[in-house]
Amino acid sequence: MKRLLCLGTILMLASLSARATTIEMKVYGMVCGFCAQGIEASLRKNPAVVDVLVSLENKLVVVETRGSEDIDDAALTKAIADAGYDLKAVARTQRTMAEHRAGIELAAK
Amino acid sequence: MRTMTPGFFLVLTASLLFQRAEARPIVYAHSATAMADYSEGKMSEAQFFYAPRSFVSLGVGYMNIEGSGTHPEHEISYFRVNFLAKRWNMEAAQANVFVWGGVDNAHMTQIVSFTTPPVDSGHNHDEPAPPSETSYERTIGASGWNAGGQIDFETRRIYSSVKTDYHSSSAFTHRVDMVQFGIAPYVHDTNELATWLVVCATRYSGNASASHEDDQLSFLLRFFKKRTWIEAGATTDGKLQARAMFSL
Repeated sequence: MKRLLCLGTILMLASLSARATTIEMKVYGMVCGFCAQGIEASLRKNPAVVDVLVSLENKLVVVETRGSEDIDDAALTKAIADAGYDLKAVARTQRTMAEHRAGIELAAK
Repeated sequence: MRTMTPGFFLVLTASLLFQRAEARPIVYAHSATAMADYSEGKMSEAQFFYAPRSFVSLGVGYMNIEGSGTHPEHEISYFRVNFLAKRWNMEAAQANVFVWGGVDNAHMTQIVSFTTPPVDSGHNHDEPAPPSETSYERTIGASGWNAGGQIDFETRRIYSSVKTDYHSSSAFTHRVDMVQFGIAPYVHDTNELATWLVVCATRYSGNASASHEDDQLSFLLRFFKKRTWIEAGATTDGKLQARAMFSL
């Protein structure tokens, strides 16, 4: 029983680490708070989105999704375009939203 | 006769060279925007727009233009559609071309004075009675149209914009041309307070009243955080200017 429990835990952790934790997007044209508000509002319309982080300094938009859900590139491109901006690159990463926030705050200091 | 100040040309040149944290008629899709503008001795204006898409917004506005003499009050209520004609998204900059137009309902008060001839009362034939001055106020209303546009360029350190706004009716015409140039003393990020030092050159024209026509140069301090944008300052002749914008 203990072995089964350990195996289950290992498999669960392995599957969690294999999936993308956040989606990073390089976005052009962001220069002010209104830009960030618009992009966040547009992305949050997707029910898979849990959290959005926008960094003007890094031209970066990070999205955290619900569970193991992914959002395809076409949907991301459309959400950014609907807000009036240009999506230049997308990457799925293992970094958590907290790690992204900490990284941006550290870089700002 | 208007006088063109050197400052007006300076700001115009700066804007052309650098060609924004400028108030926008469209912020983002499904957003509502409220804007207010006050220029002491000239005009005050309030606008409310809703953007169903990221490139179009529609709404209403009200403008009160200060007059003088026989035309003390001018008001315009209007409906307007704003259109983002072109946007350039650069890596760390953005440029926009906005155009707008709509219909106006203009009102103007007019003081009408006339002199009535003396009435011979028959009591005193040696001294004629003086003529009688009579005046009354009347309101002239007319429908009309409005049109304008704005070109702006903005990074997180500099911005500039050129804007023109024209209202025309059979009662009167009114035009405001504005050039703005701003510098941010520090670079802000999302959710941080943005501060801008702004130079603004404004030309008021139209036939609302002779005293209305003027060129003004003003210096303003602008604060911008999240959904709120406010600025206030003064013209070189000490008149207050203030503007605010709220995104809902």
